[in-house]
Amino acid sequence: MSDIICAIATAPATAALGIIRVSGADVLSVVAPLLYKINGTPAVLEHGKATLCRIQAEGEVYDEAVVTYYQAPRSYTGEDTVELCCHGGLYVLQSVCELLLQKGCRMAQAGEFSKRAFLNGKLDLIKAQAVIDLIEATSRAERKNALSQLEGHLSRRLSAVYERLVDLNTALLAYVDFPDEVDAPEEDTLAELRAIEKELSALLAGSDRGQLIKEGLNIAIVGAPNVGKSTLMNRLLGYDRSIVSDIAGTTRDTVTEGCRLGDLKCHIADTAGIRTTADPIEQQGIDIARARAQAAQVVFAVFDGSRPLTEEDIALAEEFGNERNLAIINKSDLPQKADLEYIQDHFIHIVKLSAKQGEGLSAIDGWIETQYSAEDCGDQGILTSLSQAQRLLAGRESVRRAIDCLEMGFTPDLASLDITEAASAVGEVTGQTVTEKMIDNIFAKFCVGK
Amino acid sequence: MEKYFVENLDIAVIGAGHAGIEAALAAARLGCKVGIFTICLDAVGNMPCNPSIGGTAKGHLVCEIDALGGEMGKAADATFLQSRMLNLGKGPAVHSLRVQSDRRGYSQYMKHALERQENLMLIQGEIVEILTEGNRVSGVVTHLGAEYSAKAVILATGTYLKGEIIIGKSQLPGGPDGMFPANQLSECLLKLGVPLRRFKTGTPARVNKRSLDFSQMVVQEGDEEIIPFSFENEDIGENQVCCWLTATNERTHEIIRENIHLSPIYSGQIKGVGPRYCPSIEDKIMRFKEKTAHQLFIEPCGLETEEMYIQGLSSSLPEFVQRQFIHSIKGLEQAEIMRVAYAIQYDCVDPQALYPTLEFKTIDGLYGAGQFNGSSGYEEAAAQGLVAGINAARKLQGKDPVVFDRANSYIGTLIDDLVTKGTPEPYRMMTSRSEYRLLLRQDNADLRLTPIGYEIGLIGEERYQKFLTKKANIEAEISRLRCTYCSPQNQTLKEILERCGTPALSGGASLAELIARPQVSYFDLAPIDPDRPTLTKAEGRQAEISIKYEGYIEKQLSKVREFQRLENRRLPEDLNYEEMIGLRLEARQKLSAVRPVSIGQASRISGVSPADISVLMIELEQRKNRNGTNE
Repeated sequence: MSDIICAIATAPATAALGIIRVSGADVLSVVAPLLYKINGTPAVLEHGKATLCRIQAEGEVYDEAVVTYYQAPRSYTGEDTVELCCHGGLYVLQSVCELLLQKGCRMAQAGEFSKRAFLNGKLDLIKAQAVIDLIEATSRAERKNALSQLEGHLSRRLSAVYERLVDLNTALLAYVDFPDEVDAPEEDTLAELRAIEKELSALLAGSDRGQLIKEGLNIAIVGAPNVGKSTLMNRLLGYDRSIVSDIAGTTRDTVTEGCRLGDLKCHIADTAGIRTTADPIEQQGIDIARARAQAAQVVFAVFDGSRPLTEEDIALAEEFGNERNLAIINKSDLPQKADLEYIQDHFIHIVKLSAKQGEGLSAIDGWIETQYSAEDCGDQGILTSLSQAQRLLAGRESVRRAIDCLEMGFTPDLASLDITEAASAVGEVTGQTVTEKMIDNIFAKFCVGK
Repeated sequence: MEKYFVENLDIAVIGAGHAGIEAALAAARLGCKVGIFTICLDAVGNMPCNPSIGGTAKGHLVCEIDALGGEMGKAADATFLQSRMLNLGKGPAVHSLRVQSDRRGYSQYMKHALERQENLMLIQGEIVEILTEGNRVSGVVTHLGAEYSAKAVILATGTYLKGEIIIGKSQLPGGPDGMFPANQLSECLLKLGVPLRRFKTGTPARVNKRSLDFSQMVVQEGDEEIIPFSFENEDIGENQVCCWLTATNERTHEIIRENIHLSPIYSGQIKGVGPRYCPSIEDKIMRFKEKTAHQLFIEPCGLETEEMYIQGLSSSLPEFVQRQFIHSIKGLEQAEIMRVAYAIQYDCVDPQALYPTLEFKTIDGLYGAGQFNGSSGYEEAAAQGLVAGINAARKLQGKDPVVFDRANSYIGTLIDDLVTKGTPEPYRMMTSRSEYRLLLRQDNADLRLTPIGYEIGLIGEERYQKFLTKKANIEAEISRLRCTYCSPQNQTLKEILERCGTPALSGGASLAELIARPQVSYFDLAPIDPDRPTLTKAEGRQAEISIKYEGYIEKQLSKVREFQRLENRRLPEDLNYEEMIGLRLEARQKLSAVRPVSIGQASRISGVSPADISVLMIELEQRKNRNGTNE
């Protein structure tokens, strides 16, 4: 009952703010280590007080959020609860959710916060029936959803992984329970585990794609001041959203809008020009721009092709240059003076265009299409739900532990504990249960008994 | 028949097999006046199948029974002929002790143990009726009309109820090993509303040792180091016999295939459900067509007999077919068959009719144990007998029931599986049935259960004090190992590590860190550990296991805590599942049938979904609010 659950509590649409609720006994033990004050020291949360925190783990900043802690029983659920009020983009919210899942939370089922609130006496009895209805409806919907999602190729791939795990374990368990009659498994357990780990990783990679199609791609436009970021943003949106001027530092806040590039739904963030500044307000905008760029899946780094690269440009190329991001050389309508070779050293993907004239913009669509084409994942099956991905992730962790266990030199019967867990996790997605199945298998596959 | 009153009892135990013995001894030792009834006094604690005790997961059960003050481990230690620790090359969780026993010796030991026990009467007689007043039991009646009053009755009828022996076309009433069956009690049980059903099991032929050619077989010796089952025993003597291995061959299989139409199972003559782990040889050959040979073990039945048991050769084919195929096997060409193989069908109960205390849900004071509950195996039977005996005694004494759970024992796992899920075939314990098997080891059965045995009153003060000392020694040794460091320069250590096949140290390390390596044992490090206290081997081993498997043990312990939270949420007995809003139809039916005692047990019933469990929790909460009481 009192495991820690989390979920995005606000409607799943792009909004200015989004709230993630985390609830369960001793919730701080999971959440507090991820929260830092803006000055970098660990954040200290007090009941009922909102605290501005940076959500950070392993050196990576996920978001800045206003965090409120409610100590049991004085919370919505009656348990220790933390509410993280994050920036609204779904991508940010999901990243934070995934981080929480990694740290040991479980994805809440629909209605589960209310259920806990009820069980802890926080909702009155009249609401009991409503909660039951909700649980019923949810389990029905989940079943239906699970079925429709698991048809076809994905289901076959997952079932195959499940069967392999069960077979592997059956052999180990039969060898343990009937030592006089069953020989040690012939196949190489370790090799098979490694192959399964690879397959699970492939399925999980597919899950990123699935998310992408469902939720859209998060893009941040960054660049030095006055390279034409806002002009580009307005061009991509097809209307004027950002204020355009020649005055450096016009865009101080981050502006996010949805649009379609290639075949993909995208969320584009226009950010403040990045430069060294003494203006504290502008500096704040620049900090947000950086955070935004770090959280985005793709950065469009914009450079002014009509002037030699500045120190700021070079710093940006170093910061954002990688195989994933796109360098955009703007102002192709003017004589070109920028050192393209330098850019090429840092970026694999480069397009030249003139945002002002609207020339060369189709190159961006083309690039998105080739990079994020949905075609090749159409028939290999995609995991679309976060909770499914979470279970597979847990399954892969168990497989990895089993591999570690064998590599360290422990006996396979010990690894079988991890393999059982892995099979349970995968079985949860495909709707199969493990223990009975393995015992059935022992008798079906091995000739044992007196 | 005219009845006549004989005696007032507290508890009547029906059957003096492995379940009945533990039930009767436990109840008598707890101060109840007990009568134990058997059809034949010469079949007390009989082994009508394998002349052996223990085996994978079964060895665990025997050690647990011993830690709770049961008799089986001591009897097995006293009468063993050969001892082997199975799975020694694997992890400690699956090490399992198995001994060949002197079948007569074991039976004799148990009969004498019953005879010597205060408060206990061992009586020859077939019980034909259970008396009730309202829905509570009040006594039992023998086939001669002798009436004994009793406040609790424990059914431990094994394979005797309407037993039928099947050999080919011959299908005759009979109990195991040539005993009479118990033909009348079933009718009484049906009248009491006990849901009976029919199971089947079987046993192979016995042959005369003098007629076997061992030169064609492979000898199987016992272990050099012999570890007793009972934590009270230290040195129990040496192996006195060995076993032999042979195998079936193409010719054997041919004979069986040619005669398969004569098998009562394949011809549809018998319908009882048989166990998959104890298939007859005809079953093995028909199901695993690709196998050209099946291994057979030739096991001695005792020191004062030449009877040998052929493990792996159960059959219900006609005698003349059995003779043919036995004689086709290497070393058995001239075998003289002393007893032919047979299948036996018997009445037993659907164990879902029982609480985890093994008391019937609908009949106050009636308990079931052993094969009657749908299990198979001497050890499984004894474990249930002990639990039924303890709980029957406690009930009469107005004490809370003792329920073993999946997290503390194989006994708890066995009973939970039976009463929660039921069983479609005779149930055998296996290590793979336990999700907490790293915690439920044979070697730590005493550490897990002695305190419970002491609390119940079956473990005496002296043994308990010994246990406390052992526990303290282990804990102290673990702490010492954690804070005793050794230098990477230590030459002896370098040699030890090299011998163990593990890399040398790069910096200083505690002894515990060295033991954590799978390749290094506690005992390997003795030469570099001059301050080591004098501990028993068992204590050293416990310290080693705790350190080596710490990560896994911690993980299982955290799962246990999760498990216990749900286990501790008790479901009231008067819940009306049929009328509970929000439950799915299947869940209503299953919950009404099983009547789980806790949310945890409810969640393990097949057909009860997580959503149903939520509904149950909400119902619990509503009741709490209505009653204005706290849980």
